[in-house]
Amino acid sequence: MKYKPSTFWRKAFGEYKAWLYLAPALIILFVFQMYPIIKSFLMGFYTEFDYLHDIVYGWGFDHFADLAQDADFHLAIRNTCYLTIVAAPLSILISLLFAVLLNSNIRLRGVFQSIYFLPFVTSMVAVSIVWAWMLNKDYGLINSILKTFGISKVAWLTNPKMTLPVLVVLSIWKGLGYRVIIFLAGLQGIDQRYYSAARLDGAGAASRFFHVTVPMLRPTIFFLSVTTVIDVFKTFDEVYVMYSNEPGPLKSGLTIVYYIFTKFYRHWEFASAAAAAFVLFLIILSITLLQFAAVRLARWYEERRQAHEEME
Amino acid sequence: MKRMTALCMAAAVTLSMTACSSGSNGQSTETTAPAASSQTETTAAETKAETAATETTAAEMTASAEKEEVEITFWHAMSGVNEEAIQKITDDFTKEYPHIKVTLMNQGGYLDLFDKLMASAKANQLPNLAQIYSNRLSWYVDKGLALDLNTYMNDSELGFSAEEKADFPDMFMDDCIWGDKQYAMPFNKSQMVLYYNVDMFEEAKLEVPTTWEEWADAAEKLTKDTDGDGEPDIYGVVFANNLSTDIAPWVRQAGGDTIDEEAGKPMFDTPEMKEAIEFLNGMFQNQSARFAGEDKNANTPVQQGRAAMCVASTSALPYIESDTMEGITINAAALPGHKNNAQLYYGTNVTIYDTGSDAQKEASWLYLKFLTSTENTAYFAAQTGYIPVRKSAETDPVFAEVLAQKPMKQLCFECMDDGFQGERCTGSINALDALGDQIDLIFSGEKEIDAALKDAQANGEKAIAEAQSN
Repeated sequence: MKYKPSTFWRKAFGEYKAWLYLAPALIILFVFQMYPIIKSFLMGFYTEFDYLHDIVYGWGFDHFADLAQDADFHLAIRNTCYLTIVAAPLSILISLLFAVLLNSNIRLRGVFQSIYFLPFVTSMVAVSIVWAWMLNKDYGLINSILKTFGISKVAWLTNPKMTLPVLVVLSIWKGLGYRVIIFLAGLQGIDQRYYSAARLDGAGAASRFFHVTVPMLRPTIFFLSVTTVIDVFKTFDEVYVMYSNEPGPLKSGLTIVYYIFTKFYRHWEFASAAAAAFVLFLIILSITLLQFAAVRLARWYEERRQAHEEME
Repeated sequence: MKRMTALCMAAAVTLSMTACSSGSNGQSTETTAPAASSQTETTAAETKAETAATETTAAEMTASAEKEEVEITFWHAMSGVNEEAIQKITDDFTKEYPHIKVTLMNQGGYLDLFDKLMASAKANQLPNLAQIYSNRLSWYVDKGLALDLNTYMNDSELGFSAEEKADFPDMFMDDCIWGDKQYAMPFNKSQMVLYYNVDMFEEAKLEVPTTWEEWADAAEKLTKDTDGDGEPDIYGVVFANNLSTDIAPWVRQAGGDTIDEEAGKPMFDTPEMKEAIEFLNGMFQNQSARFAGEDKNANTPVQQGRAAMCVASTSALPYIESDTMEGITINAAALPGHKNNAQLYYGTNVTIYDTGSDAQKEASWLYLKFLTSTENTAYFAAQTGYIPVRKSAETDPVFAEVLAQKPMKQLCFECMDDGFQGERCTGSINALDALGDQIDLIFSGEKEIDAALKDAQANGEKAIAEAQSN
């Protein structure tokens, strides 16, 4: 094959207009996202270095090895995984429930939608301060409500056992509005004729939900599961604000991002912070890839089943 | 492949979000609270008259008049009354040195200030002056970013006389000296004291404690569980939430120390440390002591009658004056002693960074000298809860008047001979945090003291080593 430079260039940059349009976003992505990833990956290997002048005297795996042995890092991973495993599915389920309710013809639908959406547009810092007040042991709203039912005070914010449950509830509540809106969009995209056909076949409400709504919402559910997992993995501000700059009582609210933050800003251990940040990146990346793979697998299995059915 | 790239981007977003806004600040006592003092105007007028008459020589005045205009920046973390006091002193400075323009920049709380300083050091954009704790400044000193002030201090025209130098308490000056070089001047110093509810002590016919035993005894007697739910409604004593750097006075009083600065080694697994922690733990275990917890500041429950005593900084004084509930009288005493009466003094110094032109450096020095003059440190201490950084301030008319009204402020002079400042070597914060984690575990009953101190020692050693590697 003959090599023509002009064709090569046309091939690579033929769509120069497209590149032009992409450039601003790409530059920003590269400078603020790709470069930091590469840099933090490299920085994780610095063992002796001059942070200010970027002079590196020694390279090695020390920080990654330290992370593997650091009890705090293990705790951070455990806490974050607990949050993800509990909060992400619950929050998708609850959002779906509310979306289906809102999608039926109930009164004041708009009002409810706005109410559910409010937490999402409110700053996390403000939300956390209000929650800290509501959960206050002595003056909090929640304990005074419990008191009217004769339940004794609960130390929501000072009992280490309460930290993760509180964070789970906060995360579900905070993201509810956003997820409900996405689900509503998905629900409204479902052709009504499916439901009519199902009704003709005598399918009840539950059957319609599981056999029409859920399968049709699969792309939406998938999108939300990816974004929710990433969201929960990044939990930081609510802990920082609610527990007044501490990772909860006895570090019970230490998340991976909190761990990185402490390493970098409080302890100025830049290299191990970078190593931890890179590990977080790898964890999120691999979970997301797993989710994609699971969906692929499910789709492949579904197609094969359908093919079998058709053959029969 | 496209999906892969999109994925990477998505993950990248998550990563870059980790550096989050730090809305709050480390020492919440330093923030909020309105201006309290009613005597601001009279004292301000007095100082104005004095500052005009003193400090600068005529030669300096004429020299400065000829000089070109200089602009310098001062980053601080003072708000409320504290910020107003700095502003007033700075305004006076500008009157005296019209060619020097000082830009005051409030950077939020202490932790925000230190984060920003670190970032600006990396970007080569450090301010000319900044408030900073010596345990943070040590890193800048290691990096050669702080200016040696000796050149100015020893200058016959710009510097201090021998008497003036001696006027600064040694412990404050030592905190600013590394080797034979001086990198900062003491500025807003405070003292850790024991605040107590006067009436509760009178009612229980108790004396203000001066020893550990008396203290533990008083704390137990003053703890009350009125509704009988097994949890005290009034605690004997409340401590600040993080005992990591604040553990020092009790270790010193037990005859030990927290960190061997020379060797850069923590001294956590020692009999003295154990004695100090056992003593404090005793009060925690019999429920006569607690951390501030949701109250955030240790002085808050005392102000509201929910605790009899608390350990807090004198810098909390303006907030105690303005926010204490009616009918509650609070006084302060020195920390009860044990083998000795060691008293912790803390607070920031002001450093000059080795940045900008020579004219800016000189102007920064003039400003720093002005900030720490007897009149101005007296004024600052009179307006705020901080203590003067010069001995001569005790007899300064402005401060003497405040002393007459608020005898509590005398305490800092009485305790000065027993005073010490905290550890400052690079990595000391990290090591002390490792200790603080273990102390939390001990006090909450999760861990035995011996095992905890052993872990603290190991973690602390590792923390110092890593902090010193960059």
